[in-house]
Amino acid sequence: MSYLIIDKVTKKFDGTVVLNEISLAVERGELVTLLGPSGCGKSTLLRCIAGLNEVDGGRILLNDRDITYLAPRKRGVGMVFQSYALFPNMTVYENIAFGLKMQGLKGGYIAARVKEMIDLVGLGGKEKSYPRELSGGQQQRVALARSMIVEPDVLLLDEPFNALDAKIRKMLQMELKNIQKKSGMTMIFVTHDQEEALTISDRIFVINEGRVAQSGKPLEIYSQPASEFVARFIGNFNVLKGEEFERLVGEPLISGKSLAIRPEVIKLSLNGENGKGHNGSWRIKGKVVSVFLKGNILRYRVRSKDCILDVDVLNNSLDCSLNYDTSVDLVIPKDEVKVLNL
Amino acid sequence: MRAKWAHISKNLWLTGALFPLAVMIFGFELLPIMGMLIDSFRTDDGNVWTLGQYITALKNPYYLVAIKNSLLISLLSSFIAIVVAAFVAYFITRLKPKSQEAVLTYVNLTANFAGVPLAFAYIIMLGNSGLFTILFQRWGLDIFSEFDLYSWSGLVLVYVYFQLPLAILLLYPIYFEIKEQWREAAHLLGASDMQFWLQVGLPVIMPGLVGTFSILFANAMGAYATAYALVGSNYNLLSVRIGALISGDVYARPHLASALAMLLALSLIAAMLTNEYMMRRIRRDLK
Amino acid sequence: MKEKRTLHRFAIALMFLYLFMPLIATFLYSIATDWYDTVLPKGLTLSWYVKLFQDVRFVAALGRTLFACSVAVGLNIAVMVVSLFIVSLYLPKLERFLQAFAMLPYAIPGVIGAVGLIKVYSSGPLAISGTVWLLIGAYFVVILPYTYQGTRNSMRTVDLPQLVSAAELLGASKPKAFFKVVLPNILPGVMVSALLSFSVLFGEFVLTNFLVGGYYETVQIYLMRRMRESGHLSSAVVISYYLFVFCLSWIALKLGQNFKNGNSDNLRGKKYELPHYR
Repeated sequence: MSYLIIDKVTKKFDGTVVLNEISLAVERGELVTLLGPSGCGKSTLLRCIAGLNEVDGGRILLNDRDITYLAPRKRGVGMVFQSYALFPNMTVYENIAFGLKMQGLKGGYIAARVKEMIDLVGLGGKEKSYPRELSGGQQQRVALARSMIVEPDVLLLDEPFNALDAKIRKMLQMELKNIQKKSGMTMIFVTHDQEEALTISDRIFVINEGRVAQSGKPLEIYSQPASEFVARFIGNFNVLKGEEFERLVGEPLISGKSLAIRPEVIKLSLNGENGKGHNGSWRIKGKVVSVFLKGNILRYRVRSKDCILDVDVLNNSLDCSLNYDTSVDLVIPKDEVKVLNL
Repeated sequence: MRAKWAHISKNLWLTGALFPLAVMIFGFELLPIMGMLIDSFRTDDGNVWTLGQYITALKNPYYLVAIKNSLLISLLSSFIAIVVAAFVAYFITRLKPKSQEAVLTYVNLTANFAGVPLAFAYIIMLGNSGLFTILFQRWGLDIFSEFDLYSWSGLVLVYVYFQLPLAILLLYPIYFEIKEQWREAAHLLGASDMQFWLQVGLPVIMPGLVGTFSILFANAMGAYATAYALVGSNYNLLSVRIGALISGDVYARPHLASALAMLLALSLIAAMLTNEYMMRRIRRDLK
Repeated sequence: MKEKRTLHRFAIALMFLYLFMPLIATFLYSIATDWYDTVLPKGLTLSWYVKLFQDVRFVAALGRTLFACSVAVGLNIAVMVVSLFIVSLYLPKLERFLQAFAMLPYAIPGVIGAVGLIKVYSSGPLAISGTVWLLIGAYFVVILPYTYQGTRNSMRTVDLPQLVSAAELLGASKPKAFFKVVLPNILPGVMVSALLSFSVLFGEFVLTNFLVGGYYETVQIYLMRRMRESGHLSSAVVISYYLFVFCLSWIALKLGQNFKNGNSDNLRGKKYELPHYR
């Protein structure tokens, strides 16, 4: 049996269904991500696991205990909030020690454990500071240490890095992953940032409209999106209707289903430059509509037979960008065209 | 040269426009305060410098009792009002936002009910031939027969009445300093409701509570109309004594009144300083 | 959760009963024919109100109150708007002093103010004690904190310096900018503080009693003197007074809401205007 089981959990707010009989399972020691657009129900699910929202139906099992109707403080669940939620009247030390103090543990033991945690999150020397004297990144480290020190069965992180700027965010993502591996703690991480999810997760649950749209390892999700929603949300896929695609490559397809093609698998070349395509790919002609510089890649938007395709090209030389209306050839490998089920 | 003249004339024009406000503030605010300050150090005939007025104020048992009574009723009524208001204001924050607005509007309306009209309303209700007094007599409710509106307990009752709405209005915004997520975080870390309030909730709102208390205290110390309308000069309060010393034709001793008024002002300043000191003690994080 | 909410509502209802009891009792007393040993009055009548407004002495007192309050508020607002306009545009260094002096009266109870005012104005070159002019001067100072805050806040809301610069760039002179642009924009906010000041002064008793008590009978003084003569008549005074203040607050509230464009979010954590010393 899995370590944490969400079994057909339903939650409504004023009659609006936010979680629709959602089910998922998490194994011990995993770092999983609930990924989805805002309003998809991912944060609500997190709050239901923590007991901060009551569920309207279904069960939640943690470590073989049914915790569905337990008070938050009896669940063995820790949580890190987006706004850190540090107690402003307490120092870093007092904040981190809070959970152990509530357990009525001895001062000497608490001091030793707090020191451990402060070292773990790299906040040595800040013990006596108050939250308002710390940067956002430092505050979130304190929040992390505060909820980890009581060794909860599962740690929930509700978009914890959202309020931080990009650089610190990237750094903390890596640190969190390291800390998680070192401690072996089970963590559920909520985010709407697919890049963040792909970077840190052992497994990802893509959530849409209160249900799991797809689950799997990051690579699986990225290369094998199961639906148009996941394809669009995860990877800026080019999603085409079956008939559109038939028109594009001029070949009939077996199924009438939609298709997804990642922008980076399409090869782009100037007209006639490379001769003919291989057997395992389609070759089509098009014209550049626009080009976006996205740092290390260039994204061309190409029009071909009234379809628009995004094509990513590694930005490895400064003057290789093509102008508007340039005629180009696109090569699409056949095995990279994914048939979508929905 | 011309530019300089323009500059000067512009300044003159500006200063001229500020003149009326300056005159009013000087004439009716600063001058009286300075006059009172000087008067308090003068003998009754106003000719000689002396500390005599202060010595009288602090040595004469009559005035000492007045000061003591004023301090007592101010502390007591502020304390009762702040305890009740702490609960009521918190309950209000738990209502729906629309209801909160309505409740506060009504509380705000009653906050205007004070002074002579308030004393009168209480006389109608609980005076010697007040509505409730007579009703209670007829119903044989003996517990209330001891109650006398024109005594200490009556005065406390009325003071609490006008302190309560003010206390609620002042405390209400303070509760919004407690973020809901602090409560959630505390619970998830194993704290009970009580532990949350003791460890986080109360420390966070404590500066607000102390500040409100000092405003209530000052409000009660300076109150005159309510007490005067209710008990006239019969009850010995500092503000009532000051009033008697300036209005009585025969007994008027404006210099002594000035000294007492200075002491009253000092008590208000003391309340303010205590407030600031306490704030620094309680919340080390707010430097 | 549900049970707690019931408890909250019950506690709040109890508080309202306590707070409104004196008002309700006074109101019932003012429309009762006879009421001294029964649970409810024996009969209802409006005759006390009729009597009150036929009483020449009351009507005169009302006139005096309205006169003194109007002059004090009008004078104060005019002076305050001009002064704050000049200070915030040309002399921002003076802002701190102006704030200190304008807010100081709030910390001075009426009885202390009375001692100083009597000392200065009862003798010597400025013996205006007992006249309405002294009262107006005192009233002027009493409402300084309210008019100062109200005017300053509305000037901040419209961002005065930027507004004037914009008007000048479009070719308006400073006085024209003041009358055509600034004044219409800050008027609602200023009106709110004027109404608030008016209701504060309408309930003023302490200074009035000491400074002009015997010579200039206002509504509050009238009430004080007749309180023990006729309970019913005095009840009518109290209720009339209260209704008047109620209307003022209501208009101020509506004006204030319009001014803020119906932004209801500002209720949360809103600091209320403080009532005056009693």
